[in-house]
Amino acid sequence: MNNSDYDASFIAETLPAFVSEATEQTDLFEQLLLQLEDDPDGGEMLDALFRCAHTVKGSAGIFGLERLVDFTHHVESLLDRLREGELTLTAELNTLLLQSNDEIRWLVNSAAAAGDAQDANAQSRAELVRRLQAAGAAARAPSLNPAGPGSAGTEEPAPAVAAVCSVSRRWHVSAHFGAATFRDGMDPLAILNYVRRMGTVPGIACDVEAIPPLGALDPENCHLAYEFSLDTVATRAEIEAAFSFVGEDCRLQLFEPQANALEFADLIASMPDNPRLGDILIAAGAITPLQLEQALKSQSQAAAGGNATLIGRVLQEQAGVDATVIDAAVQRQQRQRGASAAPAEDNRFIRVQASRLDAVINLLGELVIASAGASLLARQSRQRKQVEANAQVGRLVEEIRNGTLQLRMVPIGETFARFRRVVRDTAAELGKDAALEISGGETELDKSVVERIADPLMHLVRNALDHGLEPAAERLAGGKPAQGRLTLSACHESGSILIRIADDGRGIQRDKVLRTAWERGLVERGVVPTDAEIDRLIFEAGFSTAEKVTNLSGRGVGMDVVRRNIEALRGSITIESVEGKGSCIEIRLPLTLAIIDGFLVGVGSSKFIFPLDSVVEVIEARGDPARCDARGRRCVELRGHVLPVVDLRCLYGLDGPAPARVSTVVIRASGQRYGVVVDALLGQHQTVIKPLSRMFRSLRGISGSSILGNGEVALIVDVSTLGDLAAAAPSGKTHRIGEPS
Amino acid sequence: MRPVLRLPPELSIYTVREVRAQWLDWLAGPPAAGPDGPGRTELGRPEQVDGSAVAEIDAAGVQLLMSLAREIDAAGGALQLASPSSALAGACDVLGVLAYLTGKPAEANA
Repeated sequence: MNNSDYDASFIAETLPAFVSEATEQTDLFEQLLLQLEDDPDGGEMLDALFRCAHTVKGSAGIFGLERLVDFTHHVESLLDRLREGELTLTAELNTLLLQSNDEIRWLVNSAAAAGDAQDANAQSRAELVRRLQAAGAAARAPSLNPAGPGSAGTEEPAPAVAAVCSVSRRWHVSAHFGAATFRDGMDPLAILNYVRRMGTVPGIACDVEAIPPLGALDPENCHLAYEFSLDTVATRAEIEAAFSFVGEDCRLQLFEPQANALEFADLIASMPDNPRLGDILIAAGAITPLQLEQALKSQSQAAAGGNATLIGRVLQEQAGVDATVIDAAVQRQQRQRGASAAPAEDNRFIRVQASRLDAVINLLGELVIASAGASLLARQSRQRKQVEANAQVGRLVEEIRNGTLQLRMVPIGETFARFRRVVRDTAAELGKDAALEISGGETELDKSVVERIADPLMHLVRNALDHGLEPAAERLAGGKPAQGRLTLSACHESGSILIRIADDGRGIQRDKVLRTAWERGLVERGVVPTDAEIDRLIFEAGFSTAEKVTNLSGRGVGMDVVRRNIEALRGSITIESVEGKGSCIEIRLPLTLAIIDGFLVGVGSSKFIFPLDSVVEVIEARGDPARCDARGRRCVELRGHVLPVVDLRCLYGLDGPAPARVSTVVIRASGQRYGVVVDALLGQHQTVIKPLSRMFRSLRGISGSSILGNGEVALIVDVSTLGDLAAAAPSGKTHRIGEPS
Repeated sequence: MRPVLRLPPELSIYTVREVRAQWLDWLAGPPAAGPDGPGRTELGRPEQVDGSAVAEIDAAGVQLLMSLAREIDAAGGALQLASPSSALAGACDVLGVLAYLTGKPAEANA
């Protein structure tokens, strides 16, 4: 394989990783910008922004994505000005940066899609570059203006910082650049140039021996290592910041001006692979040979007593070094020992292909079923030991199940955060002023659910902005604050996740909805459904009341698609609205699409499963079907409250006589409580959810099926639709009256 | 006798791989004629390297030059950087290797 083949295959293999990393960076970039807009004093956020851009630029450089590197460089330069405090982040600049970020994202994606062939955005990008440069030029102040460490070349050195406010102190810096430094797009020359502008460098020593001779050199690996002193007024953090872009890759140690020889000894001990360090330190003028000898001697005495931490303690006692400094140094040492090649980040996260995880979860489903079968057989065999062994296996399977499903759980906050941008841009486009509030972003749910909920949510958010919130003038006239409020929240509720999208806009105008429904023939002319049913009409296919069709919503293909998408996830969507006050849309989704904890019950020969989280309690009842209505419903009194009860036997017309004693399972779902009459309680059951066949999709109250250990099929109850059945008025769903009211 | 090595105008991460190959070819040629005649390796004999053309240089370039010096060192010679351009001298100074390459003590911000 020759070099170019190798490069091509390397790029083909690693480009997807680059795209996903760069996408993460651009997402983070956007979120940071939006946060900065709310909180302009976030200095560390600016640093984080810069790092995002820099990371993208660095990795783009590896892949030779010239356009991306060029463009990101301009963004980076502007950010650098912001970071240096030469510019302040105005709303205008923020918009410019957001647009630039979009462009970066586009460039990243186009790199993934078609290599480097098409460049449809060249013109608009040139315009962005021009604006970025103009914004940057406005900031060129005659003040101290060090170019960022990322910028290449040897620029005119700025005058050394005049020691006006504090006295210049002598630091000793030990910087060993990592092998990947050059490949990451970093230039130690620029960093040292930058450092030199912080003060004066009386002595610098390069570890010449560390550079291999030409024959053995990989010229793209960095072998540079430095020991130097630095006279500066800058603080430790400022010096460290100069190296922040090679941070993970660079072994950087800073010694306080009062550092004594013992600390250098510690430094030497921490780099056992570098026996020349002592000489280098002497060459750099940091230490005299005599001091070094003494220090090494006293250190070896200390080392005889224990480990690195102990040395640290000795140091602390002898030299009065700050404990945190030592802790940091010890940690750094441990980290370096732990991660020889991989950067620290990789130790905390492992990227796994979703398909592999899905395969594991599918197998796990089969394992759960098989284990249920085995424990059933064990029980039938009546051998105590076998039953116990199977119970043990069952417990372990359950733990694995929980652990594995946990792997798929991601916080919904990331999805929510995306809407900050949507709200910002959409509101601007519509000429409205809207603020987005987010709560419960830490709520976790299955990744596949998160992915599939993003589009429906997007539509609902846009809809709320477009139809829900009124223009500022109208709001003021209605006695509301000019700025509209949109709230996105999420929480867990009995085994499902509840997502709320609330606005304080005009609410649903029911007369308008009803008129449209009549016109479109969705409701028979003259029939007036209840308010809740009118609200529900907006989820019907082919329904739109928008007077003018904007490019955001109002094409009439929205809400019914949203509803269908959510129902496809076994979820439900409801809307509550007060005219003039606002609307609140609630989406309920199952936490996971794969496996749930179920509560197995029997009715006649049929088996049903309730999600265990929705079961509140079980009460005994008398089997008395005579008191039910035609659909198996009645009410009972439970501790002074009326509890609607539904009898599954009557509801689904199951065969077999009811036993003398039945149980009522009390279910809580969608904020209501109801009872379900069943014959037998069969206990907790790990339920692998299988979809219902097409034939049974329309069945109300049932959301799926599951296979029991003995091969029987149990039906999984959809507790919220069953609840609607139980609570609905006995005489039918709509009040049909003869004449229009 | 091998010619004086002229450093290329650009000595940076983008060119180091290519330049390294050229230099290795150059090294493979006959050694420079010293005071003791060609063909003999003698301790400390200077190998002249002309740095006047270097306009663009970064740390990777300086490292490459250092690596060449180490190679010549190992063969018993000594690299001597002659008439370095200001960019080259500046970079070498910042990176603390000017004295090593020119055999002269560093001057502040040459």
